[in-house]
Amino acid sequence: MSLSRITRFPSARLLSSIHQQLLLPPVGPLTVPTRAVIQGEYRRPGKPKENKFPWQKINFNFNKGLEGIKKHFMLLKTEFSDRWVGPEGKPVLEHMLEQNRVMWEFRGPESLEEWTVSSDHEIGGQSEAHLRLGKNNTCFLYGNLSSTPPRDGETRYSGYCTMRSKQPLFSFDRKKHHDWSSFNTLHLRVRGDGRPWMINIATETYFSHQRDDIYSYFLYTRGGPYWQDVKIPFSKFFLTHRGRIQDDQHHLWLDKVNTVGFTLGDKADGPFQLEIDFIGVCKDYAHTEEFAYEVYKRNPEV
Amino acid sequence: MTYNHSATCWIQEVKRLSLPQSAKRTQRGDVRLVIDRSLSTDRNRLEIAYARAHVTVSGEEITLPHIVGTQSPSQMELLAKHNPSRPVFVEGPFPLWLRKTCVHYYILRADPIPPDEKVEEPYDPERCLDYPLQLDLDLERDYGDQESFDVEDLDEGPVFAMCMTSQGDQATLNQWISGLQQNNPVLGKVPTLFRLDAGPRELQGAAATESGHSHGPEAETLKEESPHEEEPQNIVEEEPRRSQGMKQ
Repeated sequence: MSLSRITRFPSARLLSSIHQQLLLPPVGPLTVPTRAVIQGEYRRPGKPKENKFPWQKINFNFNKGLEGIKKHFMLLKTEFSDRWVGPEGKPVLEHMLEQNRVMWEFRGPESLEEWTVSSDHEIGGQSEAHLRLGKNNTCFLYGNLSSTPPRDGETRYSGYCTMRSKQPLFSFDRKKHHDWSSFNTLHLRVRGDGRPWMINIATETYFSHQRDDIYSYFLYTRGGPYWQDVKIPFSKFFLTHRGRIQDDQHHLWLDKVNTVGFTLGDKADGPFQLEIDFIGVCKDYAHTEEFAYEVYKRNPEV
Repeated sequence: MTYNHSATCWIQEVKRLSLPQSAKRTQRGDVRLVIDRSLSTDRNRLEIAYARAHVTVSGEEITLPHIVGTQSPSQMELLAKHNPSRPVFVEGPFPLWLRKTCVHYYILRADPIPPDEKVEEPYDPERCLDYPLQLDLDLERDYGDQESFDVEDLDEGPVFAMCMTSQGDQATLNQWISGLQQNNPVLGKVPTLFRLDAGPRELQGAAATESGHSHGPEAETLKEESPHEEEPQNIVEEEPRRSQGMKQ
């Protein structure tokens, strides 16, 4: 009896607070921070709060048309036929014992479709970033960083650009994850211009609070006319959430990796460029470390 | 969420990996840093500096542009092996960032040798007496032993030398080439093309040789062997490219 009473009260409070938020007329960027009970999607600073009911957000669009349906059915067919060959379309022995796998290799313009490039420009800043296919079939990310913040009253710092791989999808837009559990090192072949980049890996999470959990590590490019081979073991990636390093760290779980991204946010205004030859994962037998950072609690509860 | 702002362990990690923060930065120091970072594949390198100090001419102080160039012994070897009938290119300026400043460097390179002209030189067995550098064994490798990625090798042509100057025009770069000629006599016979263009730069691959070859017959005039040239016999080639409006 008492249990049901306890559970009923918080839900009533929840409903009333949601009601209030929905019935308020849309005011511009709110200066008074409202304590969100449910943490929804990340709201870009400068973008007004959307006051739509959840069912109004779905759009039924048939503009993709026949090609879309054909593409999805072709994907479905390959999925069925791949199962006969082995896990993930490769024979079992190869899947179990493979030591190197090339994940992204930029050999044609369709390989650029897998990447999303975004920059400061979306929140009103002046940086720009573009992606094109470089000479010799490499990926060439270039642009201009500018750290003047946009004038929307709430942003204080600015000047970043990112390139993020798109979430791999099965047929009919179902999420697919990269399974890198048999590897332990990320291998990149890049040619930068001396700027410090950050590599972000986003994994599949269970709770909605963990949606923006990203594991990051630095990539210091050398510059110069020679290619640079960078090998980063996955044990070096540390956990961040919305750009802030977390106190409670754990190692990166490799079985369900969603996206990999590169971001540049050093506060140096000016042009930048990064050329990537390929991105692969490999298994380094000499690397036995599980996690590079200390896991003990800094402020243990007594 | 408790927040611990004393992130001393992260600072250590970042310090270990990033560039040193020097108190006073000189042009020479910058160049050394650039060379260390980008050409540190070869430990023994030759640094040639054609630094020109202030020169007073008719009472006025004129600062002539200074050039600091570098060439490692393996690059000298590559240049010596270069076929004199193929042109070499002076490309630049390429941007390089050191912390918050952007410096520009120019390189001297050639196009990759087409596969039919490639000569495979056998390894010199006296280079290493501990073990043979080349083995003729016909062994199969298992899945677990494949240590290289299944990617095609990029063939980008050798880089012969690198320089940084305060003023990147053709006259200064000519000075650099003539200076390089003292140690690499083959530069006297090879036609040199200049590709000076600001903007997002990348090394040209084999695909860019079409425009290079069209100028080829005109540039075949031999360069004189004198160390200082009066008239440059090189053709300036500026490709129409999207430039960001940054002229050095």
